Amino acid sequence: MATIDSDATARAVRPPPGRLAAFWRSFAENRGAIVGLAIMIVLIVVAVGADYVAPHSPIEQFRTSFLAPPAWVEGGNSDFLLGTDDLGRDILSRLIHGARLSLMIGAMVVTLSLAVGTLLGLSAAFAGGIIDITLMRLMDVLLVFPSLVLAVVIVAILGHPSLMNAMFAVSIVTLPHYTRLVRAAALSELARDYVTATRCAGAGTLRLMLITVLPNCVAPLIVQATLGFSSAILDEAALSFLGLGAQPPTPEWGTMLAGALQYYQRAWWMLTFPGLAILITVLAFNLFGDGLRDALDPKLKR
Amino acid sequence: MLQFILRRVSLIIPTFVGVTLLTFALIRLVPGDPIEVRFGERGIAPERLAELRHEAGLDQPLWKQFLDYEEQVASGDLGTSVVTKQPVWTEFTQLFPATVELSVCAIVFAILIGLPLGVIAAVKRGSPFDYGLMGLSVTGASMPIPWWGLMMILIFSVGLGWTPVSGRIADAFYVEPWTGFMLIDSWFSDDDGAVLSAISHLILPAIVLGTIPLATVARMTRSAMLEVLNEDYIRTARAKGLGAGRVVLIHALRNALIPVVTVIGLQVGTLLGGAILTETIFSWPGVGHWLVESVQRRDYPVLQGGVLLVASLVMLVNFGVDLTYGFLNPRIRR
Repeated sequence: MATIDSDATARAVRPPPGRLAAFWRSFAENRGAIVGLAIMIVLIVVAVGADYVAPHSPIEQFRTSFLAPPAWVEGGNSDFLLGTDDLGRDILSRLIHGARLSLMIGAMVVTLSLAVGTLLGLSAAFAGGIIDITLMRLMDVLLVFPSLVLAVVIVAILGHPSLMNAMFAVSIVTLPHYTRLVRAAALSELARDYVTATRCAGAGTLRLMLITVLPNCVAPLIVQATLGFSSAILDEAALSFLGLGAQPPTPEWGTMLAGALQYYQRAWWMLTFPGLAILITVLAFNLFGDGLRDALDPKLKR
Repeated sequence: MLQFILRRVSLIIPTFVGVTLLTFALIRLVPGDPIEVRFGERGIAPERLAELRHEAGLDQPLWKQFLDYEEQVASGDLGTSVVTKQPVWTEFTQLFPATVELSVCAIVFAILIGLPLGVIAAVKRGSPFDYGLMGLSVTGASMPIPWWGLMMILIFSVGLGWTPVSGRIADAFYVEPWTGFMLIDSWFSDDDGAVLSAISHLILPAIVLGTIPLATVARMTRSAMLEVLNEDYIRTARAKGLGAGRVVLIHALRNALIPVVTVIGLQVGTLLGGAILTETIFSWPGVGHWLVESVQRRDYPVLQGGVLLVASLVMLVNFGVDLTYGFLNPRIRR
């Protein structure tokens, strides 16, 4: 009896877990999120070390082996684990370098739309009135277009299709989500007493925006950014597939899919592996994002 | 209710003007002068160019040009294709039924499969079936559509030879374009094989286009059902001794349907965006394929008019969903 009691006391006396530990415990409950995180870490390592991990150069053409099947298929060559494409380039090496591109695309798109969206959202919330209305109407207009349609239009406006232009287009397409999110979060924070108190203490608008209010809007933004990462990769790949994004010989996954169009009926590996790479990457970010949302926002968890 | 409708209309008008502003800007922002683009590679003499620019009103101040454009749009003139010399509206109305047919089949597929799966997952919450379905649903939402479509062709068309690779109907059949919907037109044609051919052409694109809506519908149905199943009136219904099937299907599902119907209505944008990829993969002669081609051919009037029509369509449907929702749920009328 006594031991049990002291155990209970010891448990009661132990300080409550820190915020980070509590977050991690809640996050780790979600097995999918852990799997997503693990895949993300592997992808980042591969992308950073692409030059060392990849067995060949992504653009080197091996003239002796065009359309070589994967190593385990009859006629396969252990030199080219996932086979080669129509120009004799090693698909595995192209995928590994493509991982670097895809992660960079995701990071750039999210950074750009997050930064601009935060700025616009905060401005709308703080300025109110006509600025608020104009900005939000503008975002409504952008939201009316199906995302891929808008991206195609922006690429057309920018002139020639390229990786940079496609990234820019995808950033604009996702901008309204961040703007709306930040505005809504900032508005609900602005009504709180601590903001009034800070304002009374003489804080300027910029300080109020960035130091007082913004940190309290971060949780939903992190979730949106993670999920935005995956939709950026998907949209960019779709644009490249349509020939409106990265151009050959860039080892971008969507471009590789487009390149497989002519050959996939006799060289299934040219189609299968780039698509799987996109699917696995996007899935990892989505699983991770779902886990983050559940852990950061216990209200949504059921 | 009237007030609610009026308020929604007052919101939709500035959005529409904004959309026209964007499509107006589109034709001016794309590289090249609209008149020069029309003459393409052949070029045009400077005097003739100035003359044509004057005729088209391109030497007017921008605000005047914009007002002219608004007037044009209001009178239903969406410009003329540079490539085919056909009015954009005519081309759109010829291609639109194909896109509608594909989208309707895709969404029916998504509902027929997604709704029951979502209900079962909610009822068996926490079971392997629930986890499996949620896993599949995230996978569906993460699917790169170009790849998914080509893989389906690779497996079912090339590998198994079950379905044709592209188009709407086999060349062997001639079907009088009556409604523009191949399923209906082929039904009324005398040829018995025509319907089967149309269905076999439609099935893969519909599945591919319906995949993301399917994931969304299944997920939304599950969470809406979970919410409703916790309500007091469900407990009451159970306590009354009603059978489990009756409670789930009559009491719970009916109330869970409101958010699900909203989500389905809002899929229209997803479908039209997805149509760009699906129609390109399956050479489906619809609006999405047409838009992509217009960019590749630099046929900017088509892009301008087509995008305006697509956006207007999405706006109209969203408006309809809004009204229905307000009708069904008086709480949001304010």
